[in-house]
Amino acid sequence: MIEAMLEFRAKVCLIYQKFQFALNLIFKFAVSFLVITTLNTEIGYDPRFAAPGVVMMMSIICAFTPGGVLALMCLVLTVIHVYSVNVALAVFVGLIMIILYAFFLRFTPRYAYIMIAIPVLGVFNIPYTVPLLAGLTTSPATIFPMCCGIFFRYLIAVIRNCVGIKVDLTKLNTDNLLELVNAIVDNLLKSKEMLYFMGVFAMVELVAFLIRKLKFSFSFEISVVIGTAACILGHVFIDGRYPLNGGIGKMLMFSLISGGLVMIVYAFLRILDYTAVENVQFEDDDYYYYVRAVPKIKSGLKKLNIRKMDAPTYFESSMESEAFEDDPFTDPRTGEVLEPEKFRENRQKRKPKEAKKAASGEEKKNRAESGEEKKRPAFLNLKKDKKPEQKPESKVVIEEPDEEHAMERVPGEKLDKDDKNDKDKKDDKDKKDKKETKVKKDIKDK
Amino acid sequence: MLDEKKVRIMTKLSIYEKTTGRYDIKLAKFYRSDYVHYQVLRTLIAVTLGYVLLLLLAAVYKSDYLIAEAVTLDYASIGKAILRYYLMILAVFAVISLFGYLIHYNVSRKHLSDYYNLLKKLKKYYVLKEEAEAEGIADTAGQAAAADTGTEGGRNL
Repeated sequence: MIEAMLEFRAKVCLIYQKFQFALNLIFKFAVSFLVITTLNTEIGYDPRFAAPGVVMMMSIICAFTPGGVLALMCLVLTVIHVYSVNVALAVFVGLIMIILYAFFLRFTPRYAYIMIAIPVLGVFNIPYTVPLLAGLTTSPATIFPMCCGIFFRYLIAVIRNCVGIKVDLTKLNTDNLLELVNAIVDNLLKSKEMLYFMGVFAMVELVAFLIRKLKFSFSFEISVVIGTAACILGHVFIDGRYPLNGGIGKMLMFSLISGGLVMIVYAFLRILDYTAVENVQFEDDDYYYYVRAVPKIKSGLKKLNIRKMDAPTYFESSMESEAFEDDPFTDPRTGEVLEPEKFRENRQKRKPKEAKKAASGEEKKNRAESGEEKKRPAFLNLKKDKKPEQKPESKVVIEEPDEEHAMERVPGEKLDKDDKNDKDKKDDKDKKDKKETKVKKDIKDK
Repeated sequence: MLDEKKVRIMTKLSIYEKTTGRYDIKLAKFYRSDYVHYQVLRTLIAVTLGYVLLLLLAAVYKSDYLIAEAVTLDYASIGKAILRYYLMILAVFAVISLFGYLIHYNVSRKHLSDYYNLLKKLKKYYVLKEEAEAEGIADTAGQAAAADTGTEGGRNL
């Protein structure tokens, strides 16, 4: 099942690499459309900016621009909608935005979209994904935009309540305006629930960040689980003081859904990160280069090359002695009864290259020249009646390949070099030698 | 002729310069203390501006009370309280920004060290290439000299 998931992930990665530009545009357009539509639903007082055509145009602009432009556009849209209610109120909301930027948002301008994500995902009851994802992927500095997002959500809710209920828009004057502003500020200052939520979200992000930084296996997965648990516990604590909308059951369900979503998103983030195709240009003295760098897919599974090193068995080692020359033997691997000569031939074929070389004339000549006598190991002098020694344990060597070359493959592609026969290995070696000489020649020619 | 090894190194450098290197290379122009002091100063200015706007909003919120009690208010104590809160907020943000930007600078230096190692590799490659070219020129000059001094029979036809 895991292999199927990894293959699916690799296929998604391949498709993303092929159509990266178009997919990015489509995704950004879809997200921008969703965010702007949600904002218009919450605080869309100006019908001109809530029209589908304008929303489409703004979404197209956000699709072609960086992520920060969407956040800025949402803030400006909020001020524009409030401007349609009253100019002074719009100035008031604008000043609040500037204060938020001056105190908090200027530290992490690249993560300003987190501020917009909280109210948008809050509409779908899954704002808990934001602190979990932020803890897994960013630094604790993103607590600032997250808290600003919670404040922004409450600001929109308070403006909606106050403008809708407390003040008649057709009879808005200076006195009413002051009353409206005071009502908004009162609601915000007295909203301790907002402070509790800020505290819980900050705690969840910190917990997720600290656990994923620890160096043990499955730290990311465990951080998601513990972060979700912390989120549930925090909300249960809040529910004791300020009853939650929909009760604890709803909060529990959506917390678990958020945790699951974060797991799925992170599983893809781990491979989509750095897998985007890079188009770069640079020049040197001779050429101007247009380079398209396509990163390789790494499925994450390490391929282990297992090489067993068995000590010779009693029967194999006993073939060295002359006492058993005439006796037939059973091949322990196949169960076939073989003559001694054929048994020796088969054993020679299975031997590694070094042993073959040793068996060749060169080693024998060297030994003859040096005058070394071949010493027979003691275990070869066993008599026929004695019981065989216990089979020594085979030594298993697991060779882990370098990380550079770990699973750099497309699914279905063979990589096992041991599968090649001698002829292919020789061809590979010849090709390698030719390549080396060619490189040296090229450098010299240049 | 395209040199694959050189293109690979230059591609990696270019990708880094296009992505995170954009911010890290800007930081490389500063000394650590200069960068941190500059960012802390910017933070203090932004916090001052935000505090002034906050006071303005507070004045609007309490405008009824301020107008009604304009004559009897103790402006000295109000001024002291405002200054006290201002200095407290300034101190907190100065400490946060000091440590935050210090960590940010150190992290960027780690990324830059990899970038500089690649640059050194490329430079070394250019040096070796120049040496190989020089050897190649010396060889061809030697061959030309040998051909000139050789007999007619020694010439390649």
